[in-house]
Amino acid sequence: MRVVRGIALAIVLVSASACIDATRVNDTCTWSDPVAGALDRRRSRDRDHLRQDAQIAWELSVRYSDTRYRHAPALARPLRRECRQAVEDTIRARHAVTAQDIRTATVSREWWIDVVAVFLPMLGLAVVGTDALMRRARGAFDGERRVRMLVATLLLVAAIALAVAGVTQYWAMIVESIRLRDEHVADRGTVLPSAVHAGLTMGVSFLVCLVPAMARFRRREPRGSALKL
Amino acid sequence: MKAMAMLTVLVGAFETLNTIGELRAGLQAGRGEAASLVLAVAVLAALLLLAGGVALLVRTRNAARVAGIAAAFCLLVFAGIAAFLPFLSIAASLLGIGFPIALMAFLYRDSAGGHPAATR
Repeated sequence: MRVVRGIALAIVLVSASACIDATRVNDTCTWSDPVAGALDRRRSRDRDHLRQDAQIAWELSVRYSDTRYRHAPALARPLRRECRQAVEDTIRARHAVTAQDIRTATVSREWWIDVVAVFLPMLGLAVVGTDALMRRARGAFDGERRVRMLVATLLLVAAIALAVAGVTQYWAMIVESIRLRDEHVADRGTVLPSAVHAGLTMGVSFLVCLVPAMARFRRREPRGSALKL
Repeated sequence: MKAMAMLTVLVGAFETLNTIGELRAGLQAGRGEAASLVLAVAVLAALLLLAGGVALLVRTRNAARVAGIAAAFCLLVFAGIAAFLPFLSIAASLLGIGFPIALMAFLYRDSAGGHPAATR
């Protein structure tokens, strides 16, 4: 229980440390930036600043439309576009960057945060869940041939991996909403690494679930020995 | 068993209404044919869960098997949507994934314990 609490606390701290700058967000689409002057994309600090600017521009547009048409996407969309365009024009003029630079910054991520706050906890859950499920499922396989057992195990692992990949998407959105200090993630869900690389998320989940499943499978002594193969 | 059956009916009904609502909203917003098709399959899965719940409630023959198949199908469909097209709400998705797991675990424990209602 202490370990779980520790992990939960670490996730909250990591998410909180990577939160959007609260002093720069508002619902009136007003831009504020303490840094002026051209940004050099070769410098990591400048790239980070542009990434933050792009993130704030997106957040401003969401908040601006949400305060007016939170439940009317057709009306909210033009407002969001208008606000974002105005803010991005300001960023371009202020930092001497191109529209392509802003687009690149919009989809760039701080990978270590996604890994620590999203993927590691979910993969840990996958290992623990698969192991617990395989331990309980052992009884159901009693007396079955080894090949059938293997096929059943693989199907079960695929189903668990699919569930893990699905839960990962929503956990990623929850973490993102904590980071943005906004419960409405909106279309930013489409740039989350778990959504951009959905196939990879599923594949990794399958492999991670396969390890404890195979360990249980090998540890098990089937009735009737290897002759049943 | 009765409580679980009623819960299955409620979750099935909620998921059916929610996915139909999402399908209608998607069609109005022009979400695309692939997404509409996926949502139609989700409606089917939710209806199947509802049917499984009704079967458990009225204790028909093979009620546990019907409910088990419905739960497995529902789990695969909702987990698949969550993994590859996460446009359903968090509550609807987690319920669509979590409840079938709970139902399958319940049915498995019930059949392992030799409960007559589940094995019929």
